[in-house]
Amino acid sequence: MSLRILIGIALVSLVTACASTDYAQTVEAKYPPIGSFVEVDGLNIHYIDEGSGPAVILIHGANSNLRDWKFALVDKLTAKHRVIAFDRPGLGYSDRPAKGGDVPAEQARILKAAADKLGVGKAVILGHSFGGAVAAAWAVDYPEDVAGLISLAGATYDWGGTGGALYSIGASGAGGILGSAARAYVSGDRALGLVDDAFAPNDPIPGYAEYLGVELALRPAAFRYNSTDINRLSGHLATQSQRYPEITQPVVLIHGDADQTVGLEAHSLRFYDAVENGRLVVVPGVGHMVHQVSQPRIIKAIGRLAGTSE
Amino acid sequence: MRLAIWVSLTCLCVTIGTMWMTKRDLTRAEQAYPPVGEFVEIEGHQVHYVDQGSGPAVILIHGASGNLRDWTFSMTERLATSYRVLAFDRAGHGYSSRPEDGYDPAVQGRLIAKAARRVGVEKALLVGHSFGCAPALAIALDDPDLAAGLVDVAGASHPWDGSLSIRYPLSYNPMTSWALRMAASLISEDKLVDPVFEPQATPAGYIEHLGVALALRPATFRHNAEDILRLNESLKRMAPRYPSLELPIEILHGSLDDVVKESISPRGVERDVPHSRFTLLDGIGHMPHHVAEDEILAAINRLAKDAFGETTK
Repeated sequence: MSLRILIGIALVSLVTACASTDYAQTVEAKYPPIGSFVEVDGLNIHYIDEGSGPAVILIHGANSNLRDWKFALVDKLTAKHRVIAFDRPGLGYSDRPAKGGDVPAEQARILKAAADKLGVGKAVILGHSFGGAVAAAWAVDYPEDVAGLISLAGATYDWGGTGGALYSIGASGAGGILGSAARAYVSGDRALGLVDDAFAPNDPIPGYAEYLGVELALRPAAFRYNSTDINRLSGHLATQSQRYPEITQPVVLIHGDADQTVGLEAHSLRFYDAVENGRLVVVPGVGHMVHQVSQPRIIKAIGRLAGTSE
Repeated sequence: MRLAIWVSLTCLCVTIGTMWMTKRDLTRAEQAYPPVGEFVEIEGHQVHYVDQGSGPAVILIHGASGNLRDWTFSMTERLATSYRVLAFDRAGHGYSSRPEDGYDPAVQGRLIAKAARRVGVEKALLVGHSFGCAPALAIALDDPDLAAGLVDVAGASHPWDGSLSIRYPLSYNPMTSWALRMAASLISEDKLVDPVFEPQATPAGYIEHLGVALALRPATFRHNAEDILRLNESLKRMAPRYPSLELPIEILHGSLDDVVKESISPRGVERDVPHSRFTLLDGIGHMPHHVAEDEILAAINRLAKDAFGETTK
């Protein structure tokens, strides 16, 4: 490798590093923490905790953070439930552990410890997409504190691949540079457009993209963690899914049949077949954002599992 | 005396008028909706069916007040690209004739199974909608070699508590059937069909395609009422046998289906049949095979993959 290329890389890295710091600060000023913090193993975990009644714990998906839940769901539940939503370790404002942070079961362990500190006890565990993997691990590992599991478009089984080239590079050493490129590419309105695209084939919900703060997941560290999470998920699920038959609590699987991100048949159908007490709800015509698009059905499922429905 | 003559004359006119209208309705119905398939004779009864495509066999069985045209509206064409698809008129409906005990899903199923075998089907997936699920289950119970898998679409499978509307005994009773039938004929067809689709809209062209008039023919009208009147007793005989079923069953049920209640039949099959999978279709009414067609096709494809290997798409 010639000296010129090395100097070039060094310069790009320097510029990237400066730009990244600026970027993170700008994004964090725009989307500040909206909840409180609880410490687990020296890690700060960001959460919101609202309402009272039987507890419901909400776990967001990839590229996301707890604002996903606060946008439209939390306020519909607080009249009858204590609702806790966490930022998953490494995303939003929750710290990432030094090791094992990409393992769904490790994320579940950290968030469960946080819930314990908040005195939550038995709860309905609900996860969307990647959060479905964490919620499923939670149900496997802490059955005594699980009233029921709700997986929304949950990624629960190995699909024999990675999240694609973008996340593979993002998770690697080159992730920082790619992150900058991604930020340059998806900055501003384009980032909002990508969030809107995730709703396909459904119409995006007005205001959602502006509220979510997807740029939080484009900050350098978060980008790397998020990429690693996605890239390694299938491998972790290959192991984790073998334990699903142990789950005896009620499991509700809600999945859009037009989901192109996490396939109904590859995930929720297999999960349904593995558990003893499953209920499969397919939402015709709905894509991956079932947790935003089909909330009446979700609220009904929560009410049933939490014992709060009339 | 004069009054008696007038009353007699009125009665006579009404009777003649009714007979004439009945005959006219029958002719019109059959002229407008002639048989679309072929016939095979089983146990001395004619069985009307359509047979399209090639590949693993799929047998489609229509619901109450229906006929096989319910399936030829769209489903047969979509299935025929990968399967040999056969849709049957149940005994006493469409153009299939009715034996004495033709109300019994076991008899309806037997005639269909024998007809399928007659035309060279040895193994098939059974798809039953609503009432049509009962004969499909009967085939699975009585002819397990033929039944490779079953799709229960908003199916009636388990006995229920409570009584039926008075219109069924009245529709069945020969003394009153004509009056109910004529009343039904006077209601516009969309008012008869739309409530079954709710909250979805009836697909454009469906009513014209189905041939509601066929179900309003005098004999068919009574057969349909008899089927429903005696369904509970039939299901009471069948349901205790479901735990012995070894075939895989996919149950698909609309969350807003007001015709067949989720808690009794579909949940019953899920509970009783070892290899069953229940899918609740969010927001869908009683007609998922028209308004959530992709879900039905996906279920058929899944079962076909298990039963016939990877030959289908």
